[in-house]
Amino acid sequence: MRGRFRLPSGLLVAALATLPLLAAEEEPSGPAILERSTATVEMDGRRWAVPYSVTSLGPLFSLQPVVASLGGELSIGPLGASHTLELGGTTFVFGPGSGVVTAGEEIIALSQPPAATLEGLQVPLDLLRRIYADMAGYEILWDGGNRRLAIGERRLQQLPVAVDVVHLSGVTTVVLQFPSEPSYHINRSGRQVRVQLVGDQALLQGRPAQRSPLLERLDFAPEEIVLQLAPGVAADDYTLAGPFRLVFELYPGAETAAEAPTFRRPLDDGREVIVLDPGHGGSDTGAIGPAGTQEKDVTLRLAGLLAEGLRGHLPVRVELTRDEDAELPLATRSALANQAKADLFLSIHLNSAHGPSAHGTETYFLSLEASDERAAQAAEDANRAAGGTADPLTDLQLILWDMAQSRHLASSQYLANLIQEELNQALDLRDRGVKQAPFSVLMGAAMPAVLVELGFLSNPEEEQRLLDPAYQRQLTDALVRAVTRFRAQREGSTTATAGSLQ
Amino acid sequence: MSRRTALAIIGVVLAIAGLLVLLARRDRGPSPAGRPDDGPNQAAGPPRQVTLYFPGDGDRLEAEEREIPSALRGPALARHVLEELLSGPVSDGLYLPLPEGTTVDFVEPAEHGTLYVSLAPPEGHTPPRYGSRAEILAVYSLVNTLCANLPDVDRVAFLWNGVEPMTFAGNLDTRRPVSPEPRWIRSPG
Repeated sequence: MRGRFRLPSGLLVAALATLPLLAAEEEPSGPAILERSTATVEMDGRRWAVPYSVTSLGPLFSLQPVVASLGGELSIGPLGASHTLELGGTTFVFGPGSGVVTAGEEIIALSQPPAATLEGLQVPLDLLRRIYADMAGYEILWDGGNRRLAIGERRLQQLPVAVDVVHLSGVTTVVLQFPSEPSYHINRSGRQVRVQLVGDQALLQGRPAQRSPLLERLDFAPEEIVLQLAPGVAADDYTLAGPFRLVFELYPGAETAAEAPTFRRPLDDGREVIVLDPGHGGSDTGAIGPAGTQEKDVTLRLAGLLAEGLRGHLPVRVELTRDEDAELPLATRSALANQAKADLFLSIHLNSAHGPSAHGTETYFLSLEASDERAAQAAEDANRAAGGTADPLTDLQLILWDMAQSRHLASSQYLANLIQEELNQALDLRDRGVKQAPFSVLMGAAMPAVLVELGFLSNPEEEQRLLDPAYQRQLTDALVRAVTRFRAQREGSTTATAGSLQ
Repeated sequence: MSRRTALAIIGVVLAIAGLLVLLARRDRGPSPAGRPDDGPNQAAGPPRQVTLYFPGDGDRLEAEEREIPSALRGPALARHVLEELLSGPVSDGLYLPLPEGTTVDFVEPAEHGTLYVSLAPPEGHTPPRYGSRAEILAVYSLVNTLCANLPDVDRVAFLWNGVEPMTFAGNLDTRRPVSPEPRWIRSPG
């Protein structure tokens, strides 16, 4: 299933805060420029020249002459690293060396990063199309042989739109089916979601039969379709191909979840920050042992003990994603860590298996091969199978949120190894090893992040041990030693000590 | 023993055997026959062997062979394989990957190698909330089984009751299609 990746508005703050950090860590990079030349732009019978370069991934065009002709307000950051273009109420943020652009609330992958040149920033064709085809209704064609960039207004089409509304299991699905993919953009304001067609008009084919308690109204005009959501309802959108369908999933209770996450205390006092995440909480009990022990209670206790241990032995600030029995969406947990500019993120869990005999501890870091590489390959395969007509970006958007963590995978793996080593040594437990899996709570964490399973609640004996305060202390002491060694290694010190814990 | 007595004993034994087979099939859930999209020719040809991967008692999946009608193709084959998996293992020490009563809601044909599977939790229940290990083995039990037996399936996208969940059972992000992972399968020997 392909779809546009839209950040929940609350997380956008964290995501945008993360991008400059990512950029700051890495030198702007991109494929080598193979050729520099000048292309001819043709538009409305006029011609003008625009500097362009060619890399192994295709052409890059100087942005400023295009903006001067097609419109938009371009502002450039003091070091030339951040470019902001406002057009049609949408803000695009991009810069040299970054293959990612934010467009309003969306994060979009580019075919190649823009490049800083003497002629100013040069950007790939797909970014120009994203801005000027989607937002302003232009058609942009590149003729590489003749070095010609033809820009024209798209011919207006009347597109028959079939609408379906299905309300099932508390979720409403609204499907807008088009005969072909239109040029459109989605604007969200309060409880309204507006699908605005660019250069085309919608022709409604009948009214949907079903009503939904989550959708107050569905209004149609030739240029736009407006979903008026009921109070407290959120809507996610994605697209499906063959025929092209724009799908909205409406679900209740998201206003609260979308609020910007925040810690109560001031965030920046100069110390390193470690964010501990006690797994589950509220109605999400997590695993339940045969004697009725609930994972959410033990993880909260263990995280509290670990916080005490870390504060007592290291000059760090420790924050908990929850310090009470509260429900917290998974994405909010890593967003909290991002917002706190955390140096480490540890999600504390207890395991369960299908049978009663599994025991021991496991430490996980995010599975890259299960996410980025294979998803990118899947997108490429799908695009190839579709004769190259599918938009690979819509698939790639799905993997972008992983990127924040993928940059820290090596550190996360190292930390996971240290944790397993310390736990095995301290507790003489069976080494179940360090493993990778696509854990939702680790995606989007822009720092070394691991999920540690401190024992199997499904094992009756281990369940009892996990309730023993002395055993809990042994577990958290081992984690303190692992974090101490991790910090020492990162600081290049070979004389790490963990005080009395040694 | 007279011929008549011998025949009577054989008859009783056969009746008991038949009853046992019927009970065993009922315990394993709905009969494979009569699924709506199996097609009319499912019984044609010799049975086909499929490999199902069930969670074991440790930290790996273990294989179990089954025979199914050879004429099944596409979504009907996928549904049949899934229903075999959800009806549970016959070997000791193996487990149902999902709670008993979980059913296949619908299966969409594979598109560019991706099969869309919608599951339905047991009536009156929500999708399961598992610990990490149980969830990983549940996901890869389904994915590895489907990809091993359906040549045109490279990855599987999951829905619950037709809705894409944030996680499969509380921890794992399955919003993108999942590729098979042989490392979760116990090596023979």
